[in-house]
Amino acid sequence: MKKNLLKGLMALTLALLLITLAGCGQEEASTNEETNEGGSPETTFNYPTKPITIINPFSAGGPADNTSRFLAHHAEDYVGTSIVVENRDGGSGTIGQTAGANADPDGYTLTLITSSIVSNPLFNNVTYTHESFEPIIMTVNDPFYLVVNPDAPFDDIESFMKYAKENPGQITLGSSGTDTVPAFTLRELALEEDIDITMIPHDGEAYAVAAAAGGHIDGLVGNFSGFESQFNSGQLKPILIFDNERSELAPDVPTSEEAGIDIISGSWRGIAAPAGTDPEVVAYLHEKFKETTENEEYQNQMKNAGIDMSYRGPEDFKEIIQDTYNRYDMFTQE
Amino acid sequence: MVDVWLGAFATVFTVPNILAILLGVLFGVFTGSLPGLSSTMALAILIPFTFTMDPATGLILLGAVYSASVYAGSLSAILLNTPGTPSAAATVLDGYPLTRQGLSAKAIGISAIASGIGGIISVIILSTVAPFLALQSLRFGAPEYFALAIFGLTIISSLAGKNPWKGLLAGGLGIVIATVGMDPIQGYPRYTFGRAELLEGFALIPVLIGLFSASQAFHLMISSKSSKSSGPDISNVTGNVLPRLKEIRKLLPNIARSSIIGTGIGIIPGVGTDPAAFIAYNEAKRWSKEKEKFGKGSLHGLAAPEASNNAVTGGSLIPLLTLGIPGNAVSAVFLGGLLIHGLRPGAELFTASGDIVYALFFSLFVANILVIIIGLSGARVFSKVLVVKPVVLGPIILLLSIVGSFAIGNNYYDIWVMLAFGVIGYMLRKYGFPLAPIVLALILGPKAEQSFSQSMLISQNDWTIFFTRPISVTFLVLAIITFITPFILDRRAKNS
Repeated sequence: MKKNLLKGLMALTLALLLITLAGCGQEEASTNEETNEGGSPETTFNYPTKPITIINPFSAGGPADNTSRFLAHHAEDYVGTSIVVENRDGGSGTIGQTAGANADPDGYTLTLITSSIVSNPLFNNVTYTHESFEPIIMTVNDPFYLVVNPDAPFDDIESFMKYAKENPGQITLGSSGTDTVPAFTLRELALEEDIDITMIPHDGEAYAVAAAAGGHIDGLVGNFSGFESQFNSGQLKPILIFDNERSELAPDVPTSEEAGIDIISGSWRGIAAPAGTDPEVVAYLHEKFKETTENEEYQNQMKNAGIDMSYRGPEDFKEIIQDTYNRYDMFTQE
Repeated sequence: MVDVWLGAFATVFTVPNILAILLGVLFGVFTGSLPGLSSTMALAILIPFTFTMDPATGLILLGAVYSASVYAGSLSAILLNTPGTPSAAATVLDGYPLTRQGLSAKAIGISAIASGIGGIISVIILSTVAPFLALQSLRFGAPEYFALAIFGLTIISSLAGKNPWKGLLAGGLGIVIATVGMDPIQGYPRYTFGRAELLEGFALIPVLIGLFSASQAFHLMISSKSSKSSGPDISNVTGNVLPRLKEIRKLLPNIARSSIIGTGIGIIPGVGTDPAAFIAYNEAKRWSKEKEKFGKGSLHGLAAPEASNNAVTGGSLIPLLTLGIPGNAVSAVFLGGLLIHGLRPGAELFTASGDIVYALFFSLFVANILVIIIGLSGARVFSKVLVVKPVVLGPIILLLSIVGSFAIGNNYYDIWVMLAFGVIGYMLRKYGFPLAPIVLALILGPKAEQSFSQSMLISQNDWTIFFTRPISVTFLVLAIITFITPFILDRRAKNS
């Protein structure tokens, strides 16, 4: 009885080994063929055959997390395989991005990308650049707000500027991390307006919101969804939106254009593959993700979570990323 | 108020929702008791399934899994000397010694009762004074976080057992391990040697699985090889599962205090279950008349962390539901579950979606009672694991450790980290170094560093900021007392 079981197990292991080996051989054969014939079009498009992982370089629960989770959840039906969101947060997003940029470009490891794929390589010593990513789809463009505690010695953008000029370094504003886009927006504001602000990096937007609502810091720069509860309860007051259009969500908040501040900043978010991914795979994913974003249930969830949807295809998205790079790079020269 | 609760009662006692609680508790006990599978992971696995559920059912399921997995971490802590979830790291201290005395069934019974009561007390607090407490949680700014982290770190000296110096050394080692990776303010890489895997530092869970589970596996394999009959025969389980009423009555003040500590820590965003368990353990020891029993199988030392870590579950939902600020990784996943159904955190959540929120509270109540029932009825069955020979048990724990550390990030690298820390843990155990201080230092070290830097930025490098704020001063004073007490006791014991 025992012997039979052992034999059976051995046979099973052997069979599994053979199958794997055969699979490897096939793969090799097909790549050989491709190189021999210069990328023969005969190789059938066989994707996806296993689950896809989307690396989210930020912590679970935030707006970035929801962006990836809502998409992943609904896209499973369209893409035809399960999609897993993996939070690899830390180091202002560089950890997950490093993993995403260095992943095999086989279309099974994607990354949720934000403007931080541009700013992180500029400010940190990392092994990737924004060009390490092949954009697939932009799904979100969420403008940033300057939000202040109502007890702070200013309650609109004019008095904020006046106070900042008279009290250099006295205003403390939180950001979601050191070299995150909100932090960058703050630096840009300080530079443009020639004011001195003390930036306090936190371990994610939620903690910056808590610190500002508690009056430990004067305010923060962040997305609407992050401070919505505090906005509704009056614990935090947005005084500026870094956009050229007022938002329906907070129509009383003046735009940076109205305030004469030449900064437009938002967090665009989307999905990208590692550079070098088969264009066919990118096109396939784009098509399926686009169909997903047109799904009504997906749209409702995004609206519920207070996230501004905004679609762009791979080419347009690439341009937006390059624009962001040009802006930030000029800034680093100064 | 009465009709809100009646409504909640009616919502919970429907077939799908009762099923959700049952399945959630079972799934939570399963994932929680296996070393390596944490509460966060259990919830993250289930989140996509809740998308299509009725909002109340989805939240009830998540709540049940949350409560049960935090409880179940104690099962392997008590029986195998390896916590099933990091939050049960403090349960090992007195849980395993009880098993060695043949009292595993009783220990499981007490931990179930303490966990259940802890959970229920936190739910009561959550459902009555949540909005008020949420506002209090906002009083925690960077200086308060720093003081709290320092207070938590000083507990190390009382966790050390016989030799406080060895405890300090272990704590120091934990802090050194925690410095690897990018610093929280500048993003500057430290001790990464140019390796991308190290930018994040050592991930907490593989390190903990290695230190506790793998090292225990090594211990079981090596000791059973060297001597056929090492230590007492612990498979002979004696003692009742159900503790005597007198014993429970004695434990109640301790359980109540620990539950309040747990709820309080849970309310403060970003601290979490693990420090809460240690802080409750420390306070139980401080107020106990039998301090010398701690670490050798004290029922108080077992009940305190268990009540406390389960109380964190309710506590952490307070800032989450009222302010939209997740207190720990698990409640961050929970937030995703809320938003998907269009439930927006805030005071209005309690009025606009009161039916769902109170159904969730009531279901947590039911889930905690289920935890008690499962713990008490299953104690003898769970204890059967002790009959398994160490030679067999060791490899099983090692296998689970490998699976668990791989499953976190689908990363082979994490397995190597786990194994390396398994070897370190084994050596430390062998030379009598306590492991608990390393856990505390790993978790609180980075918190202390970040909040210190933030405080310095806010105060423009004026260090008096820590002494001019009442909450901060209170914790710092507590920290000094906690730190020096074991040394004084140690000296007194030596003199007499």
